[in-house]
Amino acid sequence: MRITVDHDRCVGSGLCAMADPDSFTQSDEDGTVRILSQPQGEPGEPVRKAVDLCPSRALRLVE
Amino acid sequence: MKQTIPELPAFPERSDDPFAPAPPYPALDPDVPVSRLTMPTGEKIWLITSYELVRQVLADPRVSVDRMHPAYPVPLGFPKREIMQEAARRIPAFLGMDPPKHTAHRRLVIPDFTSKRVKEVRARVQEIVDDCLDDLEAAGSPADLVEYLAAPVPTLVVGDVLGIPPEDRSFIASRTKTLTVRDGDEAGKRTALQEMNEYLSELVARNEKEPGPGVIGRLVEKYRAAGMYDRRTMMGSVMVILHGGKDGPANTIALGTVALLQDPEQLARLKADPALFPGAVEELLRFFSSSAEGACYRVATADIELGDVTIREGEGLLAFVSAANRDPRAFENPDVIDIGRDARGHVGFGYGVHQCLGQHLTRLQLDVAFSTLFARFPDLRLAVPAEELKYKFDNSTYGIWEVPVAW
Repeated sequence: MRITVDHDRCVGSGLCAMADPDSFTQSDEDGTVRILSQPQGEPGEPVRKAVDLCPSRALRLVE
Repeated sequence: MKQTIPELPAFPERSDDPFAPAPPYPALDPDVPVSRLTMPTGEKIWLITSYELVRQVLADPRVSVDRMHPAYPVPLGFPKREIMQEAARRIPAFLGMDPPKHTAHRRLVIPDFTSKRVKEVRARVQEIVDDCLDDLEAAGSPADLVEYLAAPVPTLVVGDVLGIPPEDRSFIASRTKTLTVRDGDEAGKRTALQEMNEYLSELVARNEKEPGPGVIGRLVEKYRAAGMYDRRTMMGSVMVILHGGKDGPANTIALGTVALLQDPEQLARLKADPALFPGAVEELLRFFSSSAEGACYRVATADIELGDVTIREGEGLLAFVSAANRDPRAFENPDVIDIGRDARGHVGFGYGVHQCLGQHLTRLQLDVAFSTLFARFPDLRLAVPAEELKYKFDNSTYGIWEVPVAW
């Protein structure tokens, strides 16, 4: 599975970066999400939590 | 079979239990996620209370926060629609805008409130908390924790972040005190609010001439660079940040302190391992959900299916986040404070594109305030019986008026 981002929806809450700092960070320019790495194999708990926490549902895990 | 949609009696209902679900409102049936509610204006709106549907509706792009929409619910505290609309018209703020306009405004301030950026102000927040606790100590036991810690810390922190100069801080602090004292003098409070807003307007004008350090100065420059500068929307952004940033954290500091003082076992665990404070903060944010009425008002701009119910285009709704935070399907034993639970995912900061901008700053302040308070005053105790505390049952933001403590 891989992480996808609907960048227009991102409001820079940073909850993804807090839940999974290995996969997500926030841009210094506008605070929106930047993906640092994609899941290797089956997505673990941190990245699943990060996707669930996203308040605007900008993040998805897709096949 | 479709459930009958229950009609709730007029809003709000009082509860005598300060720790009751969604205080000060009584328990709402977790098996009834959607009901109808009559507002004080007589208007009927949808009340959404389950965790799943609160998140679903707030994340739905078909809901609007436009106060000018004829069906946007009139919140508590506004006796009439016209008054609410006049306030929104005078000071347009991004919390009343929908995407894409909302996005353009919010993106300009997001970088100042990211968790990365907020970490940089930890030392300054610690200084503020230390100074406030110096004042508490100097006042002598017993003293009011709200006056010396809960109320001033968030105001001073957000003022600092905005760029309010040090010499003006006591002015802001004193007007905040007037606004938070229980026995007002309505006229006195109106004056204090007016003076605060006049001061902010004058501070914005100063930053227009020469952008200073802090969010106000940076925002002036960014709005100008984007060709978007407008004094009123500038004021709107500043006021959302200041007013949004001072009440919620203040109330959570007060409520959280009282809760911990009444729970010696969990307090002892926290004192023994301060690394537990951030998790405890998250749990207190879930349990008390103390922000604007624990409620997110919206109006549907298209038909929305929500569980068994269809909310029609043009109907108003209230996504009741404080009830959602007590949904047993989301949080086991939700009416119990458990500092060890993973409370992330609570909706105390709301949900959707309007989720609280300042949430990381609030987390930081609460962490520093609680950990410093209990380390510095290990014998802290309530100076009055807990039953005598005056909770803000009749206020739009839930909290406690005074918390007399002794040490």
